[in-house]
Amino acid sequence: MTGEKPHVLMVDDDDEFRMIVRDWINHRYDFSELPSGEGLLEEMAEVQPDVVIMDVRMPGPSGFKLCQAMRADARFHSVPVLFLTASKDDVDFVRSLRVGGTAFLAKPVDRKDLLYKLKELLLTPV
Amino acid sequence: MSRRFGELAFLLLAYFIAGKLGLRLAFVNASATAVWPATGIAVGGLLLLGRGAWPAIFIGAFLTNLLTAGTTFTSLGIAAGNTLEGVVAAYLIERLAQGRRFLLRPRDVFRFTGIAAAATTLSATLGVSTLMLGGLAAWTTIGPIWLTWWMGDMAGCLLVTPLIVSWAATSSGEWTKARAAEAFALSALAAATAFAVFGPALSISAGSSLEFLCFPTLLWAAYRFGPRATTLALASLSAVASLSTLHGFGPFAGKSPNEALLLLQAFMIVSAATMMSLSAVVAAHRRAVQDLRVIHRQLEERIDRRSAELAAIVETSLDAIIGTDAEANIRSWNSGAEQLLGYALEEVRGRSITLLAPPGREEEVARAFETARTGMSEYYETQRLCKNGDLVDVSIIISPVRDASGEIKGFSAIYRNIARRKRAERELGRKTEELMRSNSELSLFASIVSHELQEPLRKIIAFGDLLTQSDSATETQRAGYVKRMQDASRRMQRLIEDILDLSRVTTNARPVEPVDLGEVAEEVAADFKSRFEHVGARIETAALPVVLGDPFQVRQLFQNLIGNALKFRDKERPLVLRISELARADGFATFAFEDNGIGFEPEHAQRLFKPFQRLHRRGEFEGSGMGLAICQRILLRHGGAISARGELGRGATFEVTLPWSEKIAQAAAEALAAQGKSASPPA
Repeated sequence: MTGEKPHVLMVDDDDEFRMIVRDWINHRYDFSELPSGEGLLEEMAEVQPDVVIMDVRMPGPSGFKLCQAMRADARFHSVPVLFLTASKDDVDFVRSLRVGGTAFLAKPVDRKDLLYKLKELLLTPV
Repeated sequence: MSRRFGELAFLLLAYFIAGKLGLRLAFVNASATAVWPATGIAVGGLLLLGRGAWPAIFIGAFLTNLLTAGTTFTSLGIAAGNTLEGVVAAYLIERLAQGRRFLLRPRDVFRFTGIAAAATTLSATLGVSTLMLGGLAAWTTIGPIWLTWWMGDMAGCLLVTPLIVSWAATSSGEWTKARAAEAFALSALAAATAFAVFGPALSISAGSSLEFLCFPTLLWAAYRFGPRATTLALASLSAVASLSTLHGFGPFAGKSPNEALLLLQAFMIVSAATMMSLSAVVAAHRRAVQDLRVIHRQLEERIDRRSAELAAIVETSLDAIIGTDAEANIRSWNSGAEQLLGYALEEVRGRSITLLAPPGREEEVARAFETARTGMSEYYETQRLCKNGDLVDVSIIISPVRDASGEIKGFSAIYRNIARRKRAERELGRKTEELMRSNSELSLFASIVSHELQEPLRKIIAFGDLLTQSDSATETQRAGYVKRMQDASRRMQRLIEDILDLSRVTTNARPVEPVDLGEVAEEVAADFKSRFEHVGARIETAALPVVLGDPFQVRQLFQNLIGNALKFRDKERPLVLRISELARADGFATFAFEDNGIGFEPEHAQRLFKPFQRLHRRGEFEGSGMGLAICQRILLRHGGAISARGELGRGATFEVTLPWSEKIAQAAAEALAAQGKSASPPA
């Protein structure tokens, strides 16, 4: 935590969606974003996010792989990861837990759901 | 009417004469005689003329008796008795013994004899009673009188009625020379025998029982010539014997005339009954043999007709019908079999049916017959080998063929060519598979499309929400949201357009014609000219062939590929796009679009052509991801192909194959030259 507000890092290839989410949550949270997994670990070291919102389906390494890489790094072992999955498949649910994800929401994401989920994740003691 | 009168008159006269003659031999009583052919005439006449002729008998009998001996009363009574005798006999013979035809069956001959006995008994009894009542006979002489009366009537009936009836019928015999000769011989012998036995020449004495020497000739007549000859022989013999006996000759003479005559009549009665029944047996047998022959012939005709019908059915059948013996060797072979398998009957007769088995599958054929051997018919589908080595798809039914006792004496195999059905089945299977694949592709496509359309839709909703719900948004921000909504809407529009484009590749397909690719390349390049110049890009086209295609779709293909090259150029260096021909072979020409853009990782080469598959972030590059999918569908429709090669950071090459032929190229070139246009020279 670098400021008063908790810091949220969002990784998603959809520029517009990032913009939307920023507008949804920036009254309550600090917001940084990445268009892809490139430079993820560096960014995380720099901004020290309290929670990471991770899109699953992206060109390049998928959200799952990135999460695995993250967990492998001791620094970010316990940062909560919220997956945004494109489907409600059980497979995705199982997989998101297996790779070390903390929670997931299925797209299309509702504003209220997202805010609620973030609150939940940030209240839970790490 | 006059004919009837004539008949009755004749009958009356005959009766009267016979009666008068008979009564001349009335020894026992003036009115009773042992020789009374009149009864025979009466019965025979009533059988021939009908019982309605009885008045002739009555009058004849009355006159006979009245004019010989007797009172009016006795004459009436005797006449009544005689008439009654005739009528009763005739009625019973009609009812029980086939009437005029009693000589044709032994049973009827016996019945006739019995009826005669009964009727004559009736007559004798009535006659004798009348005599007694009339005072012309004493009580004590009743016995001999009755016996005389009865035997006279009986003999008369048995000898004369059959004679009349058999000779009144039409002859059924055929007279050949041999038969005539035989008849003559028989007559001669019969006469000789009769005279020998009964005549004075040999002085045969009474009681010598030699009268039975007459039997052989009677038997001969009965056995060889039938009822007519038999009755004639019997009557002739009776006449000769009676005359002889009266004159004191023959085996019966010696006693009193009446007794002699009675003995003679007894002999004649028995002989007549015996010989007539024999001739009836012979006649019946002959008839039976003839009937049998006729029936036999009819049956044979029927069998022949039936066989011909069945043979025709087998022969005209289009199915192959093969008959084998119990060891499955071929016995019969119809034209259907000839057509189907190529062999003629002579080539396969006697050979085992395993001859028809496909190579290496003789076991299968043998096994099929085993099942049939257990008695069940079997149906299955398989192949058989033709004479020329081809295999033919057939359906087979094998049935056992049994003889009358139920034993299996062979098999019938019916083959039907099911090649057409099999082909249809395979076609159907293929079409079904195709349809199923197409369906699953379609549903996949539908889900992808809906997914793709959701993205811009969500943006519109999200930005719309932000517009209405966010109080803290600035004017600039609001304007930004609106613009985003507009962009998303346009994205949806473009996406829908592209999807329609994809489907139009097949639905709006135009007929195929020669297309000059060089010309198309030039035209499309001209369209892109300003954009190319803007980014410093260059396009090089080498000579391209004339191919067969839908001009509109080929144009679309070039637009998509050139557009892609422009879109995915490397911003670090100027784009160079080279379009050139690679090869021509087997009715196809292949050419390449090679660029030095950003390229792609080789592992994604297949994904490129799938609709909506992105290798890049959404929004990084314009477009809905349908361009290459449309290209692929165009190529598919043309019977060609498209593939991609690439290296990340170096560039991409798209290879396109389209149908081409030397002839078409020539013709097109000539046509274009005739129009005065310049065409790319064929490479």
